Amino acid sequence: MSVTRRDAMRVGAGALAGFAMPARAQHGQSEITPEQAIAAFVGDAPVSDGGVTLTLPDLVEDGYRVAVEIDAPGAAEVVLIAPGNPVPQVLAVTFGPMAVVQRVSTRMRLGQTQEVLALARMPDGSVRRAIRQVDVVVGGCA
Amino acid sequence: MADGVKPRIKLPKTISAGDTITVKTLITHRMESGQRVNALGLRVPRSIIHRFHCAFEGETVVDMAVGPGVSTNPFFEFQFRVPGPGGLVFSWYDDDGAIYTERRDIAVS
Repeated sequence: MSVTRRDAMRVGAGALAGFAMPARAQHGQSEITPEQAIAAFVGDAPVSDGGVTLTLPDLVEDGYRVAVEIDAPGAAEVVLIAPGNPVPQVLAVTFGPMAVVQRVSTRMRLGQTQEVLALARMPDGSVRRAIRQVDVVVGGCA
Repeated sequence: MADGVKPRIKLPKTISAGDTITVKTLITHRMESGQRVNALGLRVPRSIIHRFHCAFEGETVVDMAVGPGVSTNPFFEFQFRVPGPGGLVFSWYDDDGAIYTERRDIAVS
């Protein structure tokens, strides 16, 4: 079978559609590296430390459930990234108009000792960052 | 629909208009991460709650994209300022396509 011009167009259109997929649709795929997860959120916005508080225990005995709190006053969006997990992006939160206090808590899995990151996007487009070193005794394979 | 999925929501007992309240939610769910290997050496397919959404009278409070790094029986706690009486609608989106929805009406005292 010979490749017609029409076939070539189809392949091209499919490839374009694949590239155009928003980052959100790729959540939970382990091929995403921590660097990619961070870059997808930050883009080319300026990043500064402070303005976000990430609360986690310093020492975790059981990596299967680790209480975590992110407090990001005024943020529009926050992400929680555990670079040492098979899937680095743990949670992404968008605050709606009804959320006046931008603070969320959850429980996460930590696969190994690592530096956990919280990134917050402010309404002006800048990104704030908080990093916490967490020692994990028994890893919860995420 | 997965088995044994039960949403729970905790709100303060008495709420006044203008209060900022803490909303606690938990849904029983295995949150199978897709990383585990069973006795035969086969990977157990991922089956998680991948999105949690909470809205008050159609306006979003929080919208979360949940990854497999969130623990079994995912727990979420967040803040909400009550503008007046109305209903909070909570939705959990399962990988298998099911959407678990709960509504809590807030009677302002």
